[in-house]
Order: sequence, then structure tokens, then C-alpha cells
Amino acid sequence: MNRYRRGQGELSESKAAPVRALLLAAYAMISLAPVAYMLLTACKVPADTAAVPPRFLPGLSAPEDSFWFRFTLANFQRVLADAQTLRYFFNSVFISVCSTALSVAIGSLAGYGFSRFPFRGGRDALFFVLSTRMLPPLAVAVPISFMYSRLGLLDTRFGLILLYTCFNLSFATWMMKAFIDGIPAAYEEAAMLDGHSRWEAMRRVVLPQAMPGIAATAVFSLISSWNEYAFALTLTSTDAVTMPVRIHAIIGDNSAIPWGPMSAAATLFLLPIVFFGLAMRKHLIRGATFGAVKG
Amino acid sequence: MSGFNSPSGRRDGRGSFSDRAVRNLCILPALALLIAFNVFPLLASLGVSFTDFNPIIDTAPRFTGMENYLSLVNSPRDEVWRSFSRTGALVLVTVGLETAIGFGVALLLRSRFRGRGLFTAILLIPMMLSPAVMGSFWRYLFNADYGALNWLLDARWNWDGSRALSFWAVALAEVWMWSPFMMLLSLAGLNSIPKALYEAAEVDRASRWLRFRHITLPLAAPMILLGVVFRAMDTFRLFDTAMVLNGNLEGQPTTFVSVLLHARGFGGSRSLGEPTALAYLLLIASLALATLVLRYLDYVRGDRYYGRRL
Repeated sequence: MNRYRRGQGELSESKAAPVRALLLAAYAMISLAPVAYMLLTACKVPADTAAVPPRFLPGLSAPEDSFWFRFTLANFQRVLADAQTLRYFFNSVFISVCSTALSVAIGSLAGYGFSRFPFRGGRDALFFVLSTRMLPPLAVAVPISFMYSRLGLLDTRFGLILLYTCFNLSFATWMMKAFIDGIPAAYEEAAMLDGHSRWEAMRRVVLPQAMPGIAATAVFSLISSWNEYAFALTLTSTDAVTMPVRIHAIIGDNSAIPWGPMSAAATLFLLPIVFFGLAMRKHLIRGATFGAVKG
Repeated sequence: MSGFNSPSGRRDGRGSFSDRAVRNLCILPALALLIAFNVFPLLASLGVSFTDFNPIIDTAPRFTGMENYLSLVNSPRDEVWRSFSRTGALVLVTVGLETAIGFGVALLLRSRFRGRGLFTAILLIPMMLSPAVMGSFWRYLFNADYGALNWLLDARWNWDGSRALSFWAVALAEVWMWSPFMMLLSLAGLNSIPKALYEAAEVDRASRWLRFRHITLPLAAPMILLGVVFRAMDTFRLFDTAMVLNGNLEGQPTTFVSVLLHARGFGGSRSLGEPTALAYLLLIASLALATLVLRYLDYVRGDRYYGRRL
């Protein structure tokens, strides 16, 4: 009768395990279903995309009222043959890689500076720096678009690179500061006593030990700029458009939406980042939680 | 600057010229970029928010004082207030669901099994994806006539359009994408609980509920709460999913603050004074949330970065 004591009614561990596995499998299936369905939709002919019931079994023919659809790779061919989409894909790669490299480089330097030379108000400066990462993009987009139109940076890759660099920079500075704090300063001081310059000590002693932090910062920065939408939407029109904007534009205002090509473009855009994210998952976890989870 | 490469000059204390030069060289590039692209536009727009500045009409902006702010705040039945309350409702709904689902899955993932690491990583896939791209595809799933979701539910609900359902469509897409994040933080919270506590409870023959209530929940709570404040802040500024799913028309159930800002700030020939004032209201709210997040993050991480001796 005592509910604080272990009772007879409780499931034993061995009985609970299959239930747990079943629930986990169900969650995984629901969670991955939209992505899987996108891969399938990318392989549909137009007639099969708007069919009821939805068709999700790839086949050679599509009988009435069945779940089979005609498997085709034409959508991928169409996307890969479209010069504009390829150009925007290149924009996405170029902009996210450049801004990640820049923000990691500048952010590591700043992190080192904040870590090794504490100064009064430094802590507040650092909080300020990180809080810029948390600003709503739309609150900044209006003044930035005005500033960019004056500077001629609207719709340029360079403009987006600068902006993404800034937004990742605040995060990079903060993360790298935390990491470099964990590297004892005594190592560099010893190197400097041996006659190495501070620059050499940074490169040879601090840099190798800071690699996990650099990786976490880089992975998270790359994924955020790869997926960024609000700035790309408001600051580009024809030249510097990136894939998230492009893919949404494929839907457009059409009455017959080309779901097949849209899904194919989305698949080609998502696959690299998913593989990258899975390969670097430990660093991604650390970055996405701002270092709160060690990964 | 000349001290940068010289091998001596740092043993003589922290305040020496060379150390200060090194520090400045390290920090200044970052600060310069942040000031140029964050602080300067924000200050400029603070100025604009007190005027009737209009970039299209070529007249000198007129100083209007607090007029823009007052007109925003003093119209309680206005779209602005509604956009804030919609955003608040979205935060409550999505963060609540994400926490419940994430914590539930984390509890299931607690016991060790073969391939657990990879399985957990695969569950994280939704949060690696672009909200705008996935949102575009969600529109296919939400389609009233041939969408897979209506077929699953055996319904013919109109998910897009101005129906109240469009709010739930955005909520569903968000919960799908970010529950894994809450799972991640819940797992971290659960993993931080010392095994010895459970062993002690075992000795005392404490019931499963008692162990959950008095060990699992309180000890995992700080990490989970950190996830909650992170997600609340992110959802508060939500734009991509709502914009992609339902556009930026005013008066929709999905016209959240950021969406309204997009509609008014990039809507054409209006004065920029009012949108920038609105942006400032959003900024103040977000900065308050961000401060909360950062202080709490500092607390959970349990270390003080500043003021520690090197």
C-alpha cells in the first residue's frame, strides 16, 4: 500500500525493454518520415505528385488508387541542368564556407584576446558580443538593407559573407574564449620563455589544443549560414540568391506547383549538410548548445 | 605594435604596452566588424525610429519624437499587439510540446543499447535542416487536396490560407524540427545524474515514481530549463517557417512579430519610422530574453570565465 516503496505492479527491466524499443522506433519513423517522403517526391513524375492517396512506393507503373508511383530521375536532371539553380547552389557553398572561415579565424583571435588579457568590463563586452547572435534577424534587416543599398552591397555575395561572418563571429568569439580558457596559459608562457614569440606560441601551442573548439564553432557556423533564410531573402534579388530562397521560390505562385523539381533541389541541398552533420555530430552538438553539452 | 614579435616583454606584468597591443590586435578586428554591422545599423535605426523617414520619397526626415512608439503601444486592438500575443502563444505551445517530447524520448534513450550513438545522431537530423527548405516541403504535406497529412488524418482540413489551422501548421513544423534539440539537452541532463544516487535509492527500495520525482526530475531540470530558454528565445524571433508556410500578409494567425516586421519594413512606400520602432520593441524583448539565456547558460556551465586568474 506504500506508494513510496517498490510495488508488485512495476514492469521489470526485461519487460520494459521491448516496449521502449518499439516507442523509439515509432518516434524515429515519424521524425524521419517528412525527409524520407521528400526523397521519394523528388523521384515522382508530375502526375503522381498530386495523386490521392499519396503515392510513396517507387515502381514502374502507377495503377489507379494505389500507393505506387512511376520512379524517375528526371527531376534531378532538370535541377542539375538549370544554370540558375546551379549558380545559387554555388552561392550557398561559397558564402557559407567563406563566412565560416572568416568568423572562425577572427573569432579565435578575439577569443584568445578575451581569454588571455582580461580587462575591466571584458565580461560585459563578451555578453554584449554574444547577445548580438541572439538578435532577431528581421529587427536588424531593415537598417542593414538600407545601409547596404548605400554601400552597394545589396545582392552581392560579399555583402552576405560579411553579414554571416558578423553573426557567426559573436558566437565564435564566445566559444573560442571558453575553450582557450581551458588551455593553461603556462604552456605558452613556457614557450615564450624559450624565446618563441607570442605569435608562434599561439600557433604552435594554443592552436592545436583549441582544435575541438574550432571544430565545434566551424560546424555550427557552417550549418547556420548554410540554412540562413531571412537575410538572404531581404538582401538579395538576382545575383547573390542562396538555395533556401531559391527553393522556396520554385513553389512561387504557380497553381500547379512543381513539387518534384522542388523536392529534388531540396534533396540535393540537404544531403551534403546532413552527411556533414552526422560525421561531425559531436562537434555539432557542442556548438548547437553553445558548449553546454560536451557532445 | 612592435612588441608583437619580440620574444621578451611579457614577463613584466599584465599592463605592459606589448600585452595591451597584442590584446588589441586580437580583439579589434572582431569588435570593428560587430560595430560596423550590428551596432551601427542599430543605432542608426534607433535614430530613424524617432522620425518619419521614408527612403522612397526624397524629402528630409522630420523628427517626430515618440510618436511612432506611442502609436504602436497605444492601439491595443492593433495588429502589433496581436502579433506579440500570437508569438507568445506559439512560444508556449511549441516549447511546451518540444520539451515534453524531447524529455520523453531522452528517457527512452537512457538505457544503453548497441548503436545508441548513431541512433541518437540520426534523431538529430531535423535540426540540421534549413527551416525555409523544410517549410517549403511541409506545404506539400499540408496541401488540402492531396497532402499526405490530410490523408493520414482522413480529413480535408485547409492547413494553409487564413484558417486557424495555419498556426498549428507552423507549430507542427517547429515541434518536428526542434524536439530533437530538447531531447539532446534532456539527455545531457539525465547523463549528469550520478549513478550512486539511484543505487542508494535501490537500497532504500524507493519506488520508480519516487526515484523519478526526487532524483531524475530535479537533477535533470537545470539542463532542460536551459533548453527551454534557448528555444523560447529562438521561437520568439521565428520568421523562416511562418514566412515560407503562410507568407507575410497581416492579420493571419501566423503573422508573428518578425513576419509583421517583414511586411511593414519591406512593404514598399511606407515610412521606415514605424517599422524601426517596432523592430526596437522586438529587440528590447529579445535582449531581455537573451540576457536571461546567457546568465542561465553561465550558471549551468558552472564556471566563471571572467575574474579567474590565469
